[in-house]
Order: sequence, then structure tokens, then C-alpha cells
Amino acid sequence: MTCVELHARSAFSFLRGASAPEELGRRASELELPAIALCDRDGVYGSPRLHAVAKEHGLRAIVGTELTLEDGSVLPVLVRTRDGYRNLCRLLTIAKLRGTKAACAVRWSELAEFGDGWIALTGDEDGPVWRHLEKGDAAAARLAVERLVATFGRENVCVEIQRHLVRGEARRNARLLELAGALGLMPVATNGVSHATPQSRELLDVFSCARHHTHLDAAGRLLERNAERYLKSGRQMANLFADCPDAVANTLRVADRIEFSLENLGYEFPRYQNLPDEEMARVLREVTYAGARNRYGTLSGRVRRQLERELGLIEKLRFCGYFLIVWDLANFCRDEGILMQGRGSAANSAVCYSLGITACDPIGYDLLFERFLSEGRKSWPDIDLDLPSGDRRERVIQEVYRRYGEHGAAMTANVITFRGRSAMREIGKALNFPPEMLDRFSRLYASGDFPHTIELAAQMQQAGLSPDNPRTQAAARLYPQIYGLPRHLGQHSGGMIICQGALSSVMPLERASMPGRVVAQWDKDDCEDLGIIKVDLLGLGMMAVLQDAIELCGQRGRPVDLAQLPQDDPETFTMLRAADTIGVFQVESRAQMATLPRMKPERFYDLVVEVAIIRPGPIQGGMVHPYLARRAGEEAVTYIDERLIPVLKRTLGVPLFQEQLLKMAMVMADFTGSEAEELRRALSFHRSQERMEKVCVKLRAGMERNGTPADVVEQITQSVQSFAVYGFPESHAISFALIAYASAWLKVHRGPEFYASLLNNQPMGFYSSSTLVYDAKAHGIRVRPVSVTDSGWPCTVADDGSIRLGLCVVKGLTRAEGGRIVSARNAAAFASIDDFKRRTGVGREAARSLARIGALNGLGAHRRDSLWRVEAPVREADLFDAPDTSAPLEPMTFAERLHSDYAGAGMTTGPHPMTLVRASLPGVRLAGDLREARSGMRVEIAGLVICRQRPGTAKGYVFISLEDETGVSNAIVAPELFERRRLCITQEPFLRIRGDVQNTEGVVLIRAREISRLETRAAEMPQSHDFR
Amino acid sequence: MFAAIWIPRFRLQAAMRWRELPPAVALVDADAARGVILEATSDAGEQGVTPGLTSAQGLARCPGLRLIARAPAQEQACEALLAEVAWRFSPRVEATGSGIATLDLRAAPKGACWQRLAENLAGQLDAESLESRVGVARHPEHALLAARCADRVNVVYDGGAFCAGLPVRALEPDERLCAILEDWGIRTVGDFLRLPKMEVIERLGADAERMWRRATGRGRRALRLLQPRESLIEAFDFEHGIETTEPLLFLLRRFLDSLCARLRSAHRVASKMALRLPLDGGGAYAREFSVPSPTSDVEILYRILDTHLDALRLDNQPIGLRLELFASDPLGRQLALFERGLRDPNGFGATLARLQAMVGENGVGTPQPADSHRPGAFLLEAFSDEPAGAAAVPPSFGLPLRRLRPGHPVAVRIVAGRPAWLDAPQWSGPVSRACGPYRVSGQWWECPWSLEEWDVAVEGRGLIRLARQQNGWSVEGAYDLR
Repeated sequence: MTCVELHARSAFSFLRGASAPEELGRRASELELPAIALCDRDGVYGSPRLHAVAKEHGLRAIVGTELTLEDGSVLPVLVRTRDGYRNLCRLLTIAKLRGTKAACAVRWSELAEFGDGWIALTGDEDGPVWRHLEKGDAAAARLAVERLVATFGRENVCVEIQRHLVRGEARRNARLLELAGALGLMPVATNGVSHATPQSRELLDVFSCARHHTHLDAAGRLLERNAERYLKSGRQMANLFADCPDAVANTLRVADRIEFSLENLGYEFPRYQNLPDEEMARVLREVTYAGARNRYGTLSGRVRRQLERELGLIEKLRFCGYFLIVWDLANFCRDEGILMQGRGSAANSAVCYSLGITACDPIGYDLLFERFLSEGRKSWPDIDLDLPSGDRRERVIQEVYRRYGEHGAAMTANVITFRGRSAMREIGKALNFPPEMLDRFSRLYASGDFPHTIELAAQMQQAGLSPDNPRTQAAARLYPQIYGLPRHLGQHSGGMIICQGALSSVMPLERASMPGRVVAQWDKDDCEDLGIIKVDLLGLGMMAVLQDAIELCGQRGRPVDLAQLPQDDPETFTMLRAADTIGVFQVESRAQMATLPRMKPERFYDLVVEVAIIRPGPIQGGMVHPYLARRAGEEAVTYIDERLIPVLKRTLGVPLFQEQLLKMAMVMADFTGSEAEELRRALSFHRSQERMEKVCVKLRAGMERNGTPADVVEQITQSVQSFAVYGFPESHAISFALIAYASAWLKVHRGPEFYASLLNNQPMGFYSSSTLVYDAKAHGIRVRPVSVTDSGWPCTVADDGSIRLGLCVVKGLTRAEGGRIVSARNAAAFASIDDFKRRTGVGREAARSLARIGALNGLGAHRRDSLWRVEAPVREADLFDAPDTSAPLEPMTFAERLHSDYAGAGMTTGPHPMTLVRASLPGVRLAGDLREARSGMRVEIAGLVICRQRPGTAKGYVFISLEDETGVSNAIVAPELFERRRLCITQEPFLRIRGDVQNTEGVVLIRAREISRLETRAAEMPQSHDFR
Repeated sequence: MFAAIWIPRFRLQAAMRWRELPPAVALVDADAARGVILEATSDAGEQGVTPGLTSAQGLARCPGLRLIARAPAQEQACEALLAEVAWRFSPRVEATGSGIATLDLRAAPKGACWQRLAENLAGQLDAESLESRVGVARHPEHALLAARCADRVNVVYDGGAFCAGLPVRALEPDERLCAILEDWGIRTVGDFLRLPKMEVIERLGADAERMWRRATGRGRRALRLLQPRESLIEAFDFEHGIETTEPLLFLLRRFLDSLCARLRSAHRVASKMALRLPLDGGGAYAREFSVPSPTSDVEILYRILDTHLDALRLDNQPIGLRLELFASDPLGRQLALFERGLRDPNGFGATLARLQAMVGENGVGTPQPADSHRPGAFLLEAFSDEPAGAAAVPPSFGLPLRRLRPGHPVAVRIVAGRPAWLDAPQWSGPVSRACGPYRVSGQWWECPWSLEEWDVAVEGRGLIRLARQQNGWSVEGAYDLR
């Protein structure tokens, strides 16, 4: 006996289901059910995942949902046809966009409009019929069923009966069967599944507690009566409904009537200007060649061949529209003066380069096109665009919404899942654990990038949960069950999906928390699995800096064209070799700065390697040291196999890039480009062990066929496996290196504009504004303080090349107030503080902030004079002008000014806070003097902590960067010392560190022996970059 | 003259009272996100622990630092104690602020030695384990300022000269004024008084004018006098819930020692005691005890409490203790007009306690249906004069059930998965019809239970409810067919 479960909820019903759709699918397959319908609440969130698993296991995944209706009842519906699916998506979208993010109610009248192509079930205890039966109102129940019949048609309404072995259901089911008989409707037996196995009932109870904001001890009858809502086999259902076998058999009949599956979703990427395929191909060819002539000048045979090859494949795969639409978006950016650059594997394409989507020449760099697009590849190519973060990126996103409409474009979802802290917090709240115990548990998680190594049982014990306590045991059981289940839906940082026609006919859309944004119900992987294309519009702070800096350069008559920057500029590389890279994109971190002097970059490609190499993957894979040693000539350049010399030559025999992996498979095992890409994907995602093993067997077989010795086969296979995980796309590294190089060049040649732009785009990067200001000063750039008589809202560059801090750095001053100051000053210069207050309407608190940091000094004798005047009531100018007497207050001392600067602006243009205490630190070395220190010397350093890091790759060692008036010094702290002085290290803003010098090719590190607090008066220091 | 008593770090001292603690202690605001330190002992202060640091920063500076939470009940008891001591010196006492009392000494005999009086005041507080500062001056404001900058006692005759050197914060400006004055670089009262008065008031408003008056002692304010209380209080907040009565009895003995000494010094006796035990998880256990023969004898009072606590069982652990003694004159007292019929609450309590000892802690009380799926689940609520509220009862289906508590064990023969024959002294017979199973389970997180129920018709025995649990079958009740 078999049957189909027609009413199952997954964890995507958010706190109403306790199993992932994948788990339901796998369990259904184990139980040999031919099909299962997923009816998540108000959405089809889990359907793509069930669909994927069902496909794998030969199961049918039926799409359905539970619709919350305006009267509070919940109606389960199943999608019968493709039109029905479109209708459902549109209806859900309308309801979701009409309601708030959390609430969505469908009107009964809308069911008639959109209900074509559905099968409606009468529902369970939340359904429109049961609720009347619960009250003993059989007449109202009958009316509700009749209403459904009138809406959907008799053949499309099924009376749903459920048996969970609880008292009272026999009577209710009898009434339902009577109704079905009286109205000529088909009864169907479902189990109203909320979890895959009986064991998950416990988690469902936890979710019920979360939903009702209570805990298990107080939840009482809000919890489940028993664990019967699990997925049951056909035999179990037949036994359960032995008295009405038709209801079980009818489930198969209903499933047979369902034609739709997500396989035929009907998604089509928008056509460029609605042109037919051939026309789009022609336009793409035209614009590509036009662009190529701009990029390359005369087109060489090699360029033509590559373009033809790419265009041929693009046409064959019918991706012309996609390229044209991204090109159109790139054109919009150009027209609007928004800096844009494609990143990722798109940079492997000469077409993308020619269309101006990417900035690196794949032919010049000999990049592998197959990493981007290949014939056998099922999914769409991925084009990610980097845009200046902030308003300019938002303009591009809003342009997409404008072009395709609220129902035509959406951000992909980001499924936030229960993990670590959030998982235990939810469980702990339900189990009524004291909040402080949960806090202790959370605090035991490692910060930032430090790997979490403590076992769950030990962590619970350390948090104070006794292992003998049954609640602790329950928590330990629940933790793995809840881990990874969806908690709520967010929006992806930049992934946008668009569609030919209405996207809301392909998937339900809903309102994001952020105003003006619409988000899809599926995440990027779900979209990719279903062939829905995404364009990533990513915000990059450095893009905003570059754009701002270029604009400033233009304003100052020193224009810069990024495309025309001199290649391999010696001064830029001198700065990079000296690790003078504060503020430079990608190479400003402590680890990058420690590598640059050893790497000694001399040309652009060295920067590409530098960007790619200092990452957790290559460090853990042990690739960094061999590469640097070979580069320094300390180690011979060798190759695993001679055939790999052309592939690995430019990285000195050390595989660093994903493209090299592909080429290795192609050279050694005769893989085609698409096979090689399939190998990379199988290895890098770890989604399926079986899939990974399959490609490795293929790789081995290919190499053996080519006569590769067994040890080399093994070595290459191992290398490919580990490397697939950490490898970085070369094209991506080049794209990032272009930005890194541009930022480095600007720092060297357009310092004032570069630093001003960096300050205007804070927070971003690795360092605080304070550190950036000191770095600018170290490069001979004068930084002038904020002044209401000179500053604009942003930081600007004066004619003499000095930076004038903008009003934007003043804490407590709003943008509107800043705008009023600038426009009032433009109308007429301020005559006095009274005049300033009168004409700007700036609030007293903001005026105090300005006076405190000296921004009113141009109008008052000194800061305290301004503070005195700020407090005076505003008088009409012409009536009672008070005599201009001086304030009875003493000027601020240097220490007071310093303190006020940090408190009011987070930085100072004056001397560093360390100068205040320098006299009391005899024998403490200046950061600037450390370069000369010999290895092994015992020294003491002191300064403001600007960075604390505990990289996962450093085996528990902690790196601390201290800033003083001469620069930055770095210390390394062994795990034992860190544990001993943990609080001092993590809590104190200023530290003294005594230790031994380790000077490797000018990279100085102090191996800490003693760490103590440095007493200073400075209280409000900028936030250090800690454990991020 | 006026005297002001100031208990420095009042909240910390209150929380430290009755406790054995190391020298470096800090009081933490446990409600703040990162546990902000509110006050610290001088030992902790010497190691850099200052108010405003997070507890983690405090521990970073002073590894041996002991962090304790505020103890509101102890603060309240200390406030009462402070007033009580003040009344010993003057009938006109004002509770000026937290840990501050001002005494009007203008009725003191001429030629009184203010220094000795102040020493005496501080000494009496020392005896109660409260470290204090006492200031005496012509104006109440100056007396308080004098107390604030005293090492122990400080008698000020020239208020103006004295105030000039004080930090401006001594005038207690609010946070806004404080910030402005700090911005202005005004550090002392003298600095403040040197500013042009009208211009300052024009800028800072009425609060500045109030500071001015305070600093100069002009415009003496009237004290808001306290009414003397007729009770004495001691209290203690435990850091963790306590599990046995020993710590309670230990503290009660010490409380009574102190309270009875205070009663005797005032020639009073206790006619009533009020015991309050705040409980973990909210709520409190409170009880009043009439003392049949009012007394200040520690042993008699202690025995009443001891007897009661001996039988006391609580659902939650006590996290605090508060004992209040109501003082009366030793001559005795009259029964209240509407005193309840229950003349001897101690005796009634003792009887209940004995019953509990026999049938278990949960065996005495008024039954109420429990909010649970467990069939027949109920709670016993403590006896109360108040009528019980109507509890939510789960919907019932069909016939009324006469429930057997506990169920009667029965042997059940199963045929084709259904009960077919019952075998027990009262319930034997073939099953003619069976409905079920009905499965219910719950409390899986602590003490899991699960049962399967059947309604069966047994020939000659009527319709009964069977349940199968881990320990076998039982008859849970019989349906009333009438």
C-alpha cells in the first residue's frame, strides 16, 4: 500500500516545522513514498531544496503552500498546473508586498481571482473548516467548505482528514467525512507533517515556545500532544485509516492530477530590448567588436579567434541577452559617472572585457575562458559587478527596479540559519536556562576568524550546565537537530535576479526590511539550481574612494584616468615593497604588510600573486613559504610533472589559482574545459561526497591513461583536492589587484585626494580615521582641522595640497546641519558665533561639539571662548547686540585639546596621544626606530592598540599592532601569554609590551614576553580592528 | 548647626554587609550589557578599578577583584539603620539622598562640642559596620559638602573659605551641567564662583543658580523631615539561591543580635516579626509572626523563626532574606479589633508543616487543573483565603470520567493490537468494544512521560479507561453512564 503525503511543513514554515525540506525528501524516499507535497506557510521557500533532493532520489516534489487568509484561517493549497504556480507566486507577492515583512494575509476574494490551477485542501486545526467543527458548529463548517467549492470548483477541493491519535479526532473526522459525502468531495488522508521523524517533535516544541515567547515549563498545552506528526509510510497511513481506505488511495489520485513541478518553472532571462535571439546575437557581436577595437586598437588574429570562440559559445548557449543586459547596466553606470568593474570569473572573458564590464585583459594574461563559461555547464555564468558602496550602488539597484518593476526584479534571499550561539540561545530559552548561563555559553565561542575548537559537551559544561541534568542532555540532543535550520530570511548583499516578464510569476517576492527593496523567497543557490540568473551588484568601499579621489583630482586640475595609469610605476612599487600600505586596497592588513617586504613586488603580476596568496587557504595549504622561498631564490623551482611547466611557470611551480587547477586537469588527464570546471565545482562545494569521488576517479583514470607515474597521479590528485578549496580565481585576483594598484598609485601620486577620499568613506578597510590621518602626515601631507569657516561636509583638498577635514567627521552633527552651515557660509561669511548660530539654526549640542574640537576657532579666540559663546542665548542681530567681551575661561591645554579631538571627531590633527606620556617612558622604543633593531634584542614598545588579531591559521598566536607618534609596531603573543593576560590585552586601549625583536628582511615583530597596561589620560580612543 | 552623615560607596557598603569578602571588591550593575562597575573598594581603586569600567576591564586591572551585584534589600535596611542612628542625636532628620542623612542640631545645648558629636555619630555607625563621614556646618549644604571631603569628621565654621577648594562636582550638578563645566575647564567651586554670576545663569539656567546658592550657603532650605519608624529592619541578598536553611538561620541569629541590641538601646520590645524571603525566579515568601509576649530576647524570637523554617519547603530557592521587627513599648499590646479567627498562625503553620512532612511537600494544598496534556494532571496550590480563579480546563469529550488516583494495575490481553481481556480483582472480563489508542507524551526535557489510552467496554463492568505506561497497564477510571 502506498500513498502520497499531501500536507507537509518544513522548517521554512519558520517555527512551525522542525525538519529541513531535504530531510523530508530523503525520509520520503526511504519510506518509498512516490511523492510529497511541501506546504510551507505563506511561501514556497523550501520547494527548490525539496525539488533538488527529490530529483536525486526519484521522488516527486509537489509544490504547495499554506495561505494565511484574512480571517486568520490557514488554507493549504497544492499547485496543479504551471498557470497555477504563476498564480500562486503572484498572489503571494501581492499579499506580501501589501502587508508588512512579517504579516501577509490573502483575501478570500483574491482566491477566486488567482486560484485557477490549484487543489485546495480543507486544512487542519488552523484551517477554515476545522475551527468551526471545534466549536461544534457543523453548519458553519459546511458553509466554509461550500465557499471553497464555489472558489475552486468541486473537483479541486479535497476534504482533509488527519489522525494523530488524540481524543476527539474521531468525532471531527466523522463530521468531515459526512461533509465530503454530502457535497460529493474527495476525502484525502494526510498527516499534517511537521517533522520527518518522531524524534524531531522535541524541536517542534522548542519552536512552539519561540513562537509563543514562552518556555517549555510554562507552555503547557501550546506544545504538541504527542510525536505523531512525523512523515509516515504508506503502510502506516493505511493502518491508521483502515476504516476509510479511500482517503488514503485518494492521495495518489490527487498526486496524479498534479502536472507541475519546478522542473518547468518557465523562467527566462530578459531579452535585451525584447529582440529575438538572432537579433540579440547580432547586436552583441557588433558591440563586442566595437568595444574590442577600443580596448585593443587593431584586432590581432588571436583576439579575433578568442572573441569568435566566446561569441559562438554565448550564442549557442543563448546567453546573448544576459551579456547585453549586463553591458547595458555597465553603460548606465558609465553614463551616470558611477565607477564600475566586473570581478570574479567574468574577467576570464574577452567579450566581457570588450564590453567594458571587466577591466583586465584575459588574452594579455592568458586566462582560461572555461573557468567562466563552458559548453557542458548547466548553470548560468556569473557576472559580479563591483560598485562604489553607499548611495551610488543603491542608485544602480534602484535603476534595476525601475527598469523591471517591483514585480520584475528582486534581491536574492539570504537564509539566516541557526548556528552556534543562535542555536543554543533558542534552545536555552525554551529549556528555561538562566540568561547568564546562555551568555557564558556564547562567550565561549571564539571571536572573529579564530576557529571554534571546543566540543559541544565541554562547552556546555564550561558554561555551567551539568551533564547530569536532563535539560542539558535535552539541549545536547536538540543542538544538532536545530543546527543549520532556517531562522529567518534576509537579503543577499548584492545578488539581483531579473526575469523576462514578471519575476513574481516565477517566485514569490516579498518586502525587505530595507526601504525600497524587494527580496525573493529563494537564496542564490536555490536560484542557481533552478537556472535563475543573478547579477551581483556589490558595494566596495575602495571603489567609492577611487571615484571620489578621481573627482577630487579633476577638480584640482590633476585629472587621473584609471584606464591610463602607468603600468609598473616604480614609485608605487617602492612604496609597496616598503609595506607602506595603510589605506591601500587588499594589501593593508598586518599579514599583507609583513609579506610585502619579502615578496618585493616589482611589477603588476606580483601584486596579483600578493592579493591571492595571503589568504587562509594558501596559508593553511602551506603554499606561501614555498612560493616566497622560490621567489627569493632560496629554494629551487620544481614541477610535479614537466608537462605542467607552462601551467605553473608564472607561479614558480606552486599552484595558486583555480585556473591552474583546470589547466592541470586538462593537460594531465585530457579533461575538456567544461570537465575541468565540473571538477573544480565538485571539489570546492563539498556538497556531495559521491560527486567528489566520481570526479577524482575520472581524474586519476585520465592521468593513468596518459602514462603518468602512480606517485605523480597521487600527488596531483591530492594537490588538486586541497587546492580546489582554497584556490583563488586568477581573474578575480587580477581584478582586485587592479584596484589595489590604482589605490597604491593614488596614494603615491595623489596623496591628498586619496586620503581625503578615504576619510570620507569611513568606516572601511583596516584602519581608523585617526591612523589614516597620522599616515597622511607621515607622508608630508598637512591635515587641517575642521572649521566652520572653511570645511565642507566632506573632507576636501585645499589649493596648497593640504587636507581640510570635513564636517562629516564631527560626532553629533547631522548631515542636514552640516548642509545648513555650508549654505549659510556660502551666502555670507560668518561674522561671529552669534551670527553662526542665528543663520545656521544648528542645535546647541552640535554647536558644542563644533566648539569642543575647535571648529569654531575662526569665530572665537579659542575653544573655550567658543564654548562660552555657544551657551549664550541667541539674540536678534540688530536689537540687543551684546558687547563683544571675551570669555572668562582659560584656553584648553594640549592634553585637553587632544582629549576633545578624539571624543568629538575620533581623531586629531595635532600630535599623537603618545606624546603626552612619552616623557614618562624612558627606554621605550619608538615604532619608527624598530627597523634598525637586531633580532634577539630585548626591547619595550608602547602605544595605542589599533589592531588585535588571532588568525585561524596562527595556532592560537595573537598579533597586536601598536601605534605611536612615529608609526606602527607589531607584536606577536604566544597562546599561554595571551591566556594569562587575556583581559589586559583585549580591554586596554594602550599597552606596553616587552619582548624580543624578530627582524626578517626589515619586517620587525616583537615576540612578547610581558604585557601591561599603559596609563594615559586618553579615554575616548578610536575603535581598534579586533578579531574581525 | 547642621550635621550631615555621608556613607561613601553606600551601595557597595550595603552589599558587603554581613559578608566575608576579600579587600578588593567592586559593585557591578548586572543589568548593564557588559557589567559596568558602579563602585569599588579603596583596595580595588588602588589597582586602577574605577567606576564606569566594564567588569572585564576591572578584572584585567585587578585579577583578585571580587565582583558583587547590588543588594537592594540591604540598601533599604542600611537606609533605615542610618535614619535610626541619626534619630539618636536629633529628632529632626532628613533622608537627603542614598546613604545621606542631614540632622538639624540647632536645638542642641549651647556649648556642645561638635567635633565630639560628629565622632560619636561616626562611631555608632562603625558599630553597625557602616563606614561614614560626618560633616558639621552652619548650613545643611555646607555640612554635606564637609562630610563629602572629610576623612572621618569635618567641622566647618567658615563655609565660604571651605567651599572654594572643593571640586565643582561637590555641588552635584546634573550630567548636562557637569559636561559643560568640564568643557569650560571649571574644576573647583572657587572656579565656579569666580565666573560672572548673571552670565552663567543666563547660559546654564536655574540649575546654575541653585549651585550658586549651594556654594555660598545662601537661601537655607527647609529639611524634609522623616517620620520615625516603628520597626527595625535587617536584610541580606544572597549571590545565589540557597539550598538549606542553615545560612538562613545563621543570618537570622546575627540579625536578631543586632536588632535586639538596637531595641534594647531604645528601651523597646518586638511585638511582631515579618520575615520575607525573595525567591529565585521572582516572587517571595513572606510571613508575619505575632510575638505573644513582646520581648527583645533573642532566644525567644529566634525559636519562633527556627520552628517555622524547620518545616518550611519552598519551590524556589531563597535569594534574599529580610527581617523586620515591629517595636512596641514593653507593657504589652491589645489584640486588634478585626484580628482573624485563626488566633495562632504559628500553630497553624506548624500543623501544615507536619502534614507536609508526612505526605510530601506537594501533598498539601488546594487542587487546580494543570495546563498540561497529561490526562488528569493537577497542581496543588497553597492554602489561601482568596477564592481561586477559574483555571482553563481542556475541552472534554463525551461522558464524565470517575478517575482513580492512582490507577489500578490490570493485566490486559491484547488481540490484534487491541485490548481483548482484562484481569484484575475488580475489573476482570472480556472487552466487548475498544476505542483507541490515544497517545499522549510530554515533559521530554526533564522527566519524560508517555502513555497510550484506550476506552474499553468490559462486560458487566461498564465503560472504563485503560492506560498503558512504561510500568504496564492500569485502569485510570470509569465513565459515568448515568
